[in-house]
Amino acid sequence: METVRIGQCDVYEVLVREHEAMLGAYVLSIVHEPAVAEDICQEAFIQGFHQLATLKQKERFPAWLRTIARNLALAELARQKREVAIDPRVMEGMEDVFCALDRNPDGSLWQERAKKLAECVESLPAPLNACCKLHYFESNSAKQIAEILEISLAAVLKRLERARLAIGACVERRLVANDR
Amino acid sequence: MSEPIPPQKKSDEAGAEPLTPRREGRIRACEGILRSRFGQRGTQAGHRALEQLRLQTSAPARIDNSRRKWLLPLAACVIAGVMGFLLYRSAQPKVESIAQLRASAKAVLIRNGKETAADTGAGLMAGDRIRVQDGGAATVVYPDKTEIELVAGTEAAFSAARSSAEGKVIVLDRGTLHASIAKQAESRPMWFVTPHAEAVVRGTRLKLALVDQQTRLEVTEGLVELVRKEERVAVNAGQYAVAREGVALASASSIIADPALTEDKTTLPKLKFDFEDGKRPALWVVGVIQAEPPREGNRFCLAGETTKDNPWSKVKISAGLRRTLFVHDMDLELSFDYWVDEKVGSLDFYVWNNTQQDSFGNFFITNLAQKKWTRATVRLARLSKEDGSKKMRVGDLINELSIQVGQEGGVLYVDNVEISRQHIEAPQEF
Repeated sequence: METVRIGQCDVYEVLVREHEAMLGAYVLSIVHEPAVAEDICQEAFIQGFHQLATLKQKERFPAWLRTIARNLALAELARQKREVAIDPRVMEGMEDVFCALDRNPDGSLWQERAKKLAECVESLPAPLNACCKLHYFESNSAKQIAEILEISLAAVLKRLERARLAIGACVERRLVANDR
Repeated sequence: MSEPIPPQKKSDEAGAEPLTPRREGRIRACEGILRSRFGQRGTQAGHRALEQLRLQTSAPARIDNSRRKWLLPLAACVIAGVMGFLLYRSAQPKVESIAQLRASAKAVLIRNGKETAADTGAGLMAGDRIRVQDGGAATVVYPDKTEIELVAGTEAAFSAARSSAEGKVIVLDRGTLHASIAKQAESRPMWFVTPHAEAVVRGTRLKLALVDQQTRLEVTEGLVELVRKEERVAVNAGQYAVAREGVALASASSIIADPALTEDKTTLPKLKFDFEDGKRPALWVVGVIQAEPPREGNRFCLAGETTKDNPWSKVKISAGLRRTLFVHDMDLELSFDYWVDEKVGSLDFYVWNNTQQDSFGNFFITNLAQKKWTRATVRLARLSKEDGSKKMRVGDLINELSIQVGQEGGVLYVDNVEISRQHIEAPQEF
């Protein structure tokens, strides 16, 4: 980390490559729009580079980077007047999941660790699984999903809500509980 | 763009805990990870940030007043450094290039989503992608003389290291590449990434092909490690390994013995048909199952068919337009038993080459044994265009193969048809 502080982009590049997948997912959990999330991640990495001197514990780098990104994301939401504030307890809940994924005893990629969530999605009953994939993976709106699956909008919303609750519970069991 | 789903206060899930803000946060985190497709989406941000940082850090920095006393020695050092760097640079390729296109035809360079012709001599930057169109080829050379050859129909990304434990990284999205890899640092090996597995290389010659739902790695020299999560398999020179979802990684001949693969009807290390169940396999689209001309130990065979347009009896195996029967290689052989009547003096062979979008044949066997079951073996590498303008290339995807008599009205039966490699290594333990 010391060598990064004196401004070596090449060394910082390794940090960026290790954490960009995590940061992208984190910002997408706040702003939803992939293009906006990309811009925020880019800015967060740049600010992170310039503020590295303020980081005291190198193992805190991912959480520290998320703090920078969170501030940028909230500022963007405020600018868009879409959401002015998020309950700090909600942010703590998000950190629970991302901190659990930061732990890397086997030296695996973040993407591989994140795939534990895929097991949660796959364990959903088929109707919820289909809704979930159409919404999160293929960015379809609830209305579009209703048209694709030929079911009512209310049914889609209900299924998505059940899916997110079930995934949340599954992740708590698999990730957060182990982290406590 | 999908709208966020409004959180609800209650759930109809039996026994669900109340939705506290903290749980809501955990769920939001999961949603973000799902939207990012487990971190696969939106990875250009880091690349763009680094580009911007490089531009910023190359600009002159402001100097703190308290450090002015260091100004002159520092300036002298900087000037000396810059001069040294310029001298060094004059003898080196561009710093931002990680590799160079040494030869390229019908290839496209994709940089930051923009497509341009991949011209010979162009420098490749981390994150660049090369797509080779039908009939094209591209060779990429790294400063350490590592060479990567992309064949027609291949697309690969030349990525930056994902961690400090990685050197060069090539992501193969589709097609086939051949690599001759110079000795890499022990701590920073080269990685080849496909959807099914990753190959860790420290210096070797190999071929990597991504076909349909599996990755095939062939090693000509040295040793390559094929990795998938906790699975690791060593692939030695002269061996190959196949990685496919749901099938354990294995190398060399052990994969041939894997029933899941030998039953595969898409892309096989080995195709074999004995027709003994009396049913025509789905891949055979021309030919009729019949009780064969008598011989011991065999009951059924495939009889050639004629049509109004084609009076020459033939049998044909086809994987369909979009699927692959096999990937062509120099050591592939077609072996089969044949029985022909006295009218037949020769057998012709044709394949449809999906990569080159052309039919290849121009090869026949004569001096046939008539009215007697006989085994024949044909090297598929001998098939070519009639005018000799094209040849089958290693890595070409073949989706149809026909065997046809050369004489009108002749009768043909085939049995125990097999497409396999000439030399199959004995199983080895690692």
